[in-house]
Amino acid sequence: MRIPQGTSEADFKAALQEFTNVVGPDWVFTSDEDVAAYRDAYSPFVGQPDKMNVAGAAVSPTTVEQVQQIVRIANKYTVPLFAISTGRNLGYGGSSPPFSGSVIVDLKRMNKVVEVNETEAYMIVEPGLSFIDMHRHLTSIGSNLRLSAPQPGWGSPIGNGLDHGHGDASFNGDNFSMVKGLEVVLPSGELLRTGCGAVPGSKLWMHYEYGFGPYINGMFSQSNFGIVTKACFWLTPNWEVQQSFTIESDKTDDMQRYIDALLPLRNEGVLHGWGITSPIRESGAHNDGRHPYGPKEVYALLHSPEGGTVQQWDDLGRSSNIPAARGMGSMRGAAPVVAAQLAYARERLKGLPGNFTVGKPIYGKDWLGPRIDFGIIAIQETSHGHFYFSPMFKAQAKDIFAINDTIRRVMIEHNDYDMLDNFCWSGTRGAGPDKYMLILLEFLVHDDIDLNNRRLDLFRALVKTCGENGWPEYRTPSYMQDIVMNQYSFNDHALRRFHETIKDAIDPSGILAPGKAGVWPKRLRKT
Amino acid sequence: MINTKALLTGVAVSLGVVSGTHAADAVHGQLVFGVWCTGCHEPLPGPSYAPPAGTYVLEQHYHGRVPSALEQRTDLSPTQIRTTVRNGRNMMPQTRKTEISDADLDDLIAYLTQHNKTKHGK
Repeated sequence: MRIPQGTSEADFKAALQEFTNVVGPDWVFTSDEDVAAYRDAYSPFVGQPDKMNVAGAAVSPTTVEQVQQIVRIANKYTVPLFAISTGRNLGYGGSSPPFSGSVIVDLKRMNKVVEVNETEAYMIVEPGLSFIDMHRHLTSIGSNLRLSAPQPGWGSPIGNGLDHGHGDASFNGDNFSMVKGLEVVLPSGELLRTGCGAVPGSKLWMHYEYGFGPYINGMFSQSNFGIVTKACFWLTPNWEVQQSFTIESDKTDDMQRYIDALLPLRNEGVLHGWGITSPIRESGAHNDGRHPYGPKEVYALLHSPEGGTVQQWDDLGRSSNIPAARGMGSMRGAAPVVAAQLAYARERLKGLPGNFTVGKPIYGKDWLGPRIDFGIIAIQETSHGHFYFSPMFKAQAKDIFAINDTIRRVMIEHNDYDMLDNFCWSGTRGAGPDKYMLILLEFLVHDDIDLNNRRLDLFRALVKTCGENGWPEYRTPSYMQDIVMNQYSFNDHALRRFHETIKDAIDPSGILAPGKAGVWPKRLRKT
Repeated sequence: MINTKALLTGVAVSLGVVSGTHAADAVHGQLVFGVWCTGCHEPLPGPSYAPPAGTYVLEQHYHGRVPSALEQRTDLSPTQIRTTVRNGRNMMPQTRKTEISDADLDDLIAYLTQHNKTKHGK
């Protein structure tokens, strides 16, 4: 059993006994086998157990009152807790705590649908309810509401939303933007409802998130300020049809012209999603289970000192019949509205160079729902999964090329041509980001400890260099929380120091998720 | 082939919260499979744009020596299933008792071994 630093073995065991009194012996996990089930399934420290973040035990409550009791007991014995909703945040540390020895508060059994309102399109749910559970519930009641689910769908709306995850159905893919009200057990054990939920008998908890006074929902996302036990989400009705289009040319320089045309359409609300990329530059990539389809000269250009000139890439694209620039747009909704939006977009893009192609319509009724399905991402040469490098950048051609070239140079400096060939280049893919974009690059985990360690060094170097260039991570695994918070260092880390001031005030015992988002309680802070 | 769509959309059953001793129930085990395993382990090509990952990987591994879809296998042992569910394998992560309880796992094993030609010990 791993006893957390700063807690005596006697106190740790006394706390476990009291947890047992609260939830019963079946739902406090202390055996090595049961506790190992809370490890990071995709840890890059495989084979290096001394470097892994591991839990000390786990406790699984079913009610808010039990969560409150667990938190009060943890205060009494100074036992660190780390709450998980479903712990399926694979690629970002899963159920593993940032501070080893923490007791996992496994909220999986708190899986109730509190309320669904079809007309007003909202739901109130508990944290252990997965996207799959909720989809089945919506289907069983004949609802036309659609979840904004990532795949695989065994994560939870609350867990995904609180970690700033993206789904495919909310306004811009940002699930936390759809959270209107929270119920939170504070580090003292006190129960708080945010926004209009603070009004006794409130009818507007799920309607108006601001309530009155400082707006604090965000303080409970990616944070260690409380354990969220309920959340109100706005939902969207399933759409009738989604229609996409692409515009492609053989000139790299057309990329910014496409952006200048597509982003205003997105800003006007004509487009639901949009994207931009350079297919010839991406054509050698094989991360994310993709198959390279470009010529081998792609790698020669990538490996060259300057990474290839615009003319070289355009020439290679022409000779291989792969575009140098591609813009993408999509709209969704009722068929007549989508048809009008498509016609309008086509008119607005008229006069731009390149070929305009309309994609095959996708009908909302054909949606399979969230599933435990890893898709092509699982078909990779890895023995232990992956973790994500996920920096944000501006949706402008200059920034897209700059971050890609920076990543390329850091990989070459680390002599990691395998990783460079794997990555190649990235525009943006999928629905979601709006004025900003994301690169999602999987770092595969292997049986080779030295290789994993070299990749971790590369990851840290990428985070550091990208941070210095204004491209911070939006989310990161449990073992990388500190280096990512260090990217947000304006005015001598004023943001982190503000978080620490709040942390010390509301959690003086320092028990809730020490180290989450690089925020440590005073008793564990390195000065 | 199992009608997984009906399983996934037509039945609302709470899983993962059963404890205590009980007789293994292959019918309930089918439901457990439908919730936790189908997405990656249904027969190829599967309904999504990408093949079911687990079935695809097993197809590459066995090259037809045994069926790649788990529900068509008649050689899986209870120990093999239990170990894989609890410990995971490659990309497949481990599953906790708050997700698939020991009783649910017994049912899943009963379902996946019900057509076995030889009986394995648990």
